Amino acid sequence: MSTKEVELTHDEQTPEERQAQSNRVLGFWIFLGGECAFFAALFGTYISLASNTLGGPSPSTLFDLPLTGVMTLLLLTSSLTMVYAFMQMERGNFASMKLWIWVTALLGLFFLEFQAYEFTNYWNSGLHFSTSAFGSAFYTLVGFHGLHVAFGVFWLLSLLTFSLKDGITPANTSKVWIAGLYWHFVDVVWVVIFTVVYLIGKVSIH
Amino acid sequence: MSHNPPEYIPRGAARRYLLYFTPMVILTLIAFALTMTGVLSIMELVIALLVMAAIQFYLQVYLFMHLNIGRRAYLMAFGAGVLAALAIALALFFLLKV
Repeated sequence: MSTKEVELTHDEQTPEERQAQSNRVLGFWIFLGGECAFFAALFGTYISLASNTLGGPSPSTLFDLPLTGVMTLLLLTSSLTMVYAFMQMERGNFASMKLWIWVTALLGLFFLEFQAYEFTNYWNSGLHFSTSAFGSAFYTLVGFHGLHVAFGVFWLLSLLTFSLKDGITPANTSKVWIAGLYWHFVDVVWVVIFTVVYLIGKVSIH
Repeated sequence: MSHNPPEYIPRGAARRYLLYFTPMVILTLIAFALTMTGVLSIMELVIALLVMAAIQFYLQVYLFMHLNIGRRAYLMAFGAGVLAALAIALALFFLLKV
């Protein structure tokens, strides 16, 4: 353990500090509830407009399921690595915690690379943002999710950078916890996107 | 009683998390296989896919995000968001379809 890393002993925290951390987490759960509503608006729009292809590519002809299957497995694995990071943080093993956060961020970057490849393929296949209502709704929904993943990766890398400077202390462990909640939420949204957009889209008759 | 988030994770949980992770992967593979093979009718497939997605949602939110052992207020805050989300998605679907 480096000199900057402080052993996690919750007894060092005052009840006020614990309450403050708990309230921060509650605030973030409320934010995630709002994010659910945001993505619901995009899902509702996509489901309604997915059949409006205007003669352009349709979901059933366009989607590359093996590719998105691999992307799904990447994000699911990143959820496991993130929870392992929590576990190591709880044990005060900060070197291992940082390693698992690095792995999580790396898996997120791989996901983004696959998504960029996927979007490029679809664009080259003739599905542009303005090709049809389906194109607009698809790029908006999946693109916004990709932006969330990108922000999550940035957040995790920021945590690692700050931990080099100030270390992880009992007072700031909730930052790691909250970043992890965000990461898991992004994974949850992808599970719904994979099911509703890709799997059901592939078998729908448009 | 403390509600400090990191205290939620019990010791010896690594295997348990792996146990939670395994069904998520298996469900993803089953969903993929069912879609690619076309052994079910479209309606049966859609229902099966939605049920599997719901199970994965539960596993992620309750077990990986620890909503099952956090403050009740966490569950209420997120639950309200999920209910609002369902209402918004359904409302938009019917509005735009009509």
